[in-house]
Amino acid sequence: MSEFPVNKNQERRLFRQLTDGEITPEDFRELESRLLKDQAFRRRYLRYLRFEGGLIEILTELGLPRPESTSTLSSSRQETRRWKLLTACLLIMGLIGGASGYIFRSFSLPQEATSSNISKWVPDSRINTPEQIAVVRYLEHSEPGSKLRAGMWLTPGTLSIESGRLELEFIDGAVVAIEGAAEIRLLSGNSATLVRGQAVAHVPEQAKGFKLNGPEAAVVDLGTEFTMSIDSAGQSHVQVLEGEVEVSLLGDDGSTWTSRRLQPSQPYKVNRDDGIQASADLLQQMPRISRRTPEALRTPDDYIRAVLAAAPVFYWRFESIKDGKVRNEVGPKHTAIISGVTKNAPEIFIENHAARFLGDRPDSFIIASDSLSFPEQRTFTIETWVNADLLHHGTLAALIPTAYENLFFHINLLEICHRTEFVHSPGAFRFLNRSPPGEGGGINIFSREECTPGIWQYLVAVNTPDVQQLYLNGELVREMGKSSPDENEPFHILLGQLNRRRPERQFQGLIDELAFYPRALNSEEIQRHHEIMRQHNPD
Amino acid sequence: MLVDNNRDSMKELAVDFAKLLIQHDRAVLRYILTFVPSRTDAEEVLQRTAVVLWEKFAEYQPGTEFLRWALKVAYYEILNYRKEYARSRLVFSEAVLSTLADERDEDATEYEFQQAALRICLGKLVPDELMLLQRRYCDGASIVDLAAVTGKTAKSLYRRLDRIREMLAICMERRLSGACS
Repeated sequence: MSEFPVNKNQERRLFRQLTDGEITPEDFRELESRLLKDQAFRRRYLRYLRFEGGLIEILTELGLPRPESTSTLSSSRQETRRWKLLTACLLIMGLIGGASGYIFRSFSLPQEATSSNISKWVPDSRINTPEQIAVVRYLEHSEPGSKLRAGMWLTPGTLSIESGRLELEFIDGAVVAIEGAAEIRLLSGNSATLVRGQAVAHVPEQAKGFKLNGPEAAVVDLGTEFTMSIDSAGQSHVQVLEGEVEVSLLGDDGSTWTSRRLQPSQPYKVNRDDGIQASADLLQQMPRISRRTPEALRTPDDYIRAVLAAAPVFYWRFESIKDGKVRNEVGPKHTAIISGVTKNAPEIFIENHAARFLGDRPDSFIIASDSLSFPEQRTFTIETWVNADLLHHGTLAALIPTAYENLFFHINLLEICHRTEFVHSPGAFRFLNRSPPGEGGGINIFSREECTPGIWQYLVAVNTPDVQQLYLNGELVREMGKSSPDENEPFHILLGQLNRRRPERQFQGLIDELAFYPRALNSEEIQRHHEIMRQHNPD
Repeated sequence: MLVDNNRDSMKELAVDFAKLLIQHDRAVLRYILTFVPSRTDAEEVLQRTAVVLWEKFAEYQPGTEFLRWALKVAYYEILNYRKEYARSRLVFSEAVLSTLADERDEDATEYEFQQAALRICLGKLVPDELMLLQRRYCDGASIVDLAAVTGKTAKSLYRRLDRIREMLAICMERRLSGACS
């Protein structure tokens, strides 16, 4: 009899063998025995089968891909099954003519959201593989029964809250806060419709053109901040807080009928009867959007012990700054030097026991006090916890060859990539390896999973002569084999911007518990570190 | 006239039935798959269930929960299927079926969240990976055909498919558990 699986990956493989019809009789009997005796196992089985059922539903909705080389049309198996099922029933009834019209219509009916009085998110089910367009970056309070939470990514759909405040960051950069009771329909990375309640929108330079619709109005932001409210009569009220907007009163076809440019002043109301008129009605003042201090990462002693036991060259915990330096927990060398300290104007500070990078200073970096060299051919691991303020292109760590420091060369880069010149998912993490060191080229691996602003994420980059790996939250998310070994170069490590002399790609957010190892951590070590920390920092 | 009236009311009944069946057949299939994990067999059980539901539709009380009633009927059809195939196929024992039935409790909202997470995870696949999955789930036999076309072995394609599904399961779990990515 084969050995029974002991971990979740093996369990899932067994479940897949079962659903694929490839399970052996021995394993099947063992599976039955576990299903009877072990409730936790049974629940995991049911959860997997629900995943499998969900996969079947979505993929059969998408239908069968049609190879270009053949003109054969293949209908989706589920649709075929449904038609067979219905046709059989209707033939029994002898009523296929009468009912078929209805059935045709039913197939395209969208699912309706059920009403309830809790905060909720209803994705638009008419889109098969929707793009993520916004992330919840702050939720004041989550009611029991609501699945909404900070860090949750949203696709096009409708979001409503009955109380409290919720802030969304759209993928193109606009940040919108709503306060309950309010409902907003997310349309794209740069547009939404306020259905009811009040919203305040902050639109940075890169998101100019963000559009917020009301029942009869649309506001296109030309930069910075405005507030919008929908009253019980369906009228839109707009007030610019900073910058300017173009407000449109919409015609029957949904396009601008008439418009007006507004600057900071009194509120305006927009409706078909009065057009766009200054209003004496004061809008309830909503707090404006500001940078939030994330919760501190609570680092247990077990984690510190586990990191030290794994023998890093340096381990920066960012508990305090003394004489412009952060101590290395391993020894006196390789302390972290804060930029600007020589000018008596440190540009990085400690916030909630982590290094705070504002990203808006002439320089914003931390550099190791001593250069390093690889004991084995470019074999190393960078391990850190990151909490970004927003989606942006920011350098977390750069390995810079000391021989070419003035030439802007890199050996390795670890970054958050959003709206860059490269091709990747929005907000992806990037691990670049350049051999030989250079200003361009090299081999990238990008995570498919994204950086989530306001949430602590655990990032590990491993480089060996054979492979480049990127782990996120304890899981290997990307790896790339290598055909030729890397060259060895003494290097400096720098955090927070692209290069010491090039204040570009400044990271905005917090970095904590950064360790650099002269060896490759394995997946078990990485998972263990993640689990220890997560036990003390539940999501 | 009497005949026409009967026919009209029959027609109405049929439309009501079709409407309910279309609304719930996916949930019923999902339920059956829990007990009969082979998709082909599960679909056969679903068809048998649909026939029984229609035969007994006159007993159905409008306004009561159709899905609950349909799942009950489906469970009996699963037991019938078991009796028929217990000797020739790998099918769960009655004890396992009964234990699973007691444990299974699908929450519609949770399922909606799962599907939203799964759609996002599917959206992260490269086109080749998505195509392979579609081949597997829309037409189980075509993996072999695809292997012939691509010059790869069916075994290597299945192994790749396995990796993709594992990655999807992890991605979905991570999103549902709120592990922030």
